[in-house]
Amino acid sequence: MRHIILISCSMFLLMSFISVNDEYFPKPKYPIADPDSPIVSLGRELFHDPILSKDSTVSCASCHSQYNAFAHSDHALSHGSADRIGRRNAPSLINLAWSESFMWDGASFSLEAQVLTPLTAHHEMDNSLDTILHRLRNQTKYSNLVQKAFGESPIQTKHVLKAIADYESTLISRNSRYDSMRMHLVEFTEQEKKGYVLFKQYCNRCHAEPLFTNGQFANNALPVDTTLNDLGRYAITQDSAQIRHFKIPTLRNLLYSFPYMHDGRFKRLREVLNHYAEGINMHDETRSIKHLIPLSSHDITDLMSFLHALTDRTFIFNPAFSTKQYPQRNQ
Amino acid sequence: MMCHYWDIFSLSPKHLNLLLLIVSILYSTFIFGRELSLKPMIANTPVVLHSSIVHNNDSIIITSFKAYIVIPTLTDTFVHLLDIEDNLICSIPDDAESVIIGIDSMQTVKTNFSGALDPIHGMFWTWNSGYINVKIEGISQRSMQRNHIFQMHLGGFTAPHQVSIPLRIPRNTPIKLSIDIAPCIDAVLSNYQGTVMSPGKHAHELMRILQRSITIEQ
Ligand code: HEC
Ligand code: HEC
Repeated sequence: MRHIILISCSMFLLMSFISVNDEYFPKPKYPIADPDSPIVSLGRELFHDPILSKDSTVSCASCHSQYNAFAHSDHALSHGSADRIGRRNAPSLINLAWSESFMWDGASFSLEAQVLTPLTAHHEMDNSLDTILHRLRNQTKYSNLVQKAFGESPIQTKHVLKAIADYESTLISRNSRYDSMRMHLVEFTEQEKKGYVLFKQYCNRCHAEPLFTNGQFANNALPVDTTLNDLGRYAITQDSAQIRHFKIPTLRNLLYSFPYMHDGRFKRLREVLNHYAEGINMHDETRSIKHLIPLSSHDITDLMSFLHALTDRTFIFNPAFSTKQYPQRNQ
Repeated sequence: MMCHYWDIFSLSPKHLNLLLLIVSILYSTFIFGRELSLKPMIANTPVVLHSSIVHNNDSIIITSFKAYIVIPTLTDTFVHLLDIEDNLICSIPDDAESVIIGIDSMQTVKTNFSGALDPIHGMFWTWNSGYINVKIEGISQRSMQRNHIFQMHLGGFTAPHQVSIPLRIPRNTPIKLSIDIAPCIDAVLSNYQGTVMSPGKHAHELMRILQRSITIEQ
């Protein structure tokens, strides 16, 4: 009897401990939708359907593929309709519900507004809203899905935007080794611990835990690519202090989301770390990193092992995100 | 007695129409009591779509004029997109004391993308999100652009270039906003080669010029 009380007491303590420590995650900015809701089902279908592009060849998933943490793996600059090459590398889509501005330069102010950009951009899906709505209205599959999701038809712009945004809000990654460590379910290895310390010292002010971005813009002093001459945030704000400032990307699931940076210039993580250690462009006046980060090759190996601990396989292989493995339930 | 009741329910179609008319007049005077109209001018000449107006030794043709009008009241906010292709008139509540030309930051951030705010009307910048507050396009011999066109897509909702125009208006009376677009056209032609199509300093300056060119007539 004593044992049982003792065990249940300690279980209770452990449970409350876990739930308290789960709160290391902040509150989302966009309400997270129920992955089983009809609106998310509609969004999941739309996200994977090339019907949205002008020549019906490109879907959102063509550039944002689940197996690449919803980034684009094989190209530095993403390809769109008629193989036009875009200006930038497709970022991973992870924990977007916590984000308040979208795109490398923050050109979009909400998850819903963002959806319009690829739909109508010349080098992405190159379509017009009229055509998209017309096509969707002519498919019984979508008429049914929209009716189920919103209780009204025909489909309108707001439905497309809301459904895709709701789907994107479900793309949550918080099940990495790092998260288990934060919840006291596992302990880091010595190497990961060393990497974590270095991370907190040099990287966390921008790539802030637990989202691994503070949602701000910064210039991490990459050498300027004169063929692109991308001025980043400056193009939006015209504030000269923000020349070459880009949205600070999350570092979750980096192993899957290569190549790296807004122009996809680095294929390997080690190249990124070498950049911080020896490649900082000291001539860039608007840079947010003043000096080379003093990282020895041992430090770089330790940091790599910490960054590997941000990998969440349940995210990459979550069947609920995909239409293949999650066939239209309600049909 | 029976007959009496019957009488009430047997209004002829003529009576019904009359009744509907009275109800709708009452409704419109109490709820949407009055009209607001926009009157674009080039100096002293009212703009007529596609017809040329002489100004500054130049002949100007307006091919498009669209503007958002937002009416905040205590209980609700009404948004209208006025287009010279249709008409430049909307109804506004009697008790409204202000109107805004353009979609300000608050309205932009909480947009539901439907009705007047549906991006399908071509008044939403997809690559630099936010609404175009005022769109003015036309032809001027002074323009260096192809076919002598000029284009102003004026908007911007983030600091420091928030450019919507708030105006105080009197209550209970029809409002006519006369806007002289000539100074704005002169500025875009002489300073910006005839085109301003994105938010920022230039759009900001042109909106300020537009703001100074508005007169409220009752
Ligand atoms: C041709 C490739 C391509 C297609 C198709 C595409 N995207 Fe993207 N996506 C990109 C690129 C490139 C960026 C970065 C653009 C920039 O910063 O200017 C991006 C950025 C984004 C972002 C911003 C992420 C962030 O963290 O800021 C979201 C969200 C997004 N895309 C969702 C979508 C959706 C939804 C669709 C389908 C409607 C879609 N994309 C279709 C290439 C693509
Ligand atoms: C001053 C802020 C800042 C600091 C400090 C910083 N970064 Fe970054 N980091 C950025 C920005 C901004 C980008 C995106 C730059 C671009 O694409 O042009 C970035 C990109 C990255 C990327 C590429 C991610 C992707 O998906 O493309 C990695 C990896 C990365 N940083 C790791 C680190 C590590 C590790 C550290 C610490 C050694 C660090 N960063 C320190 C701002 C910072």
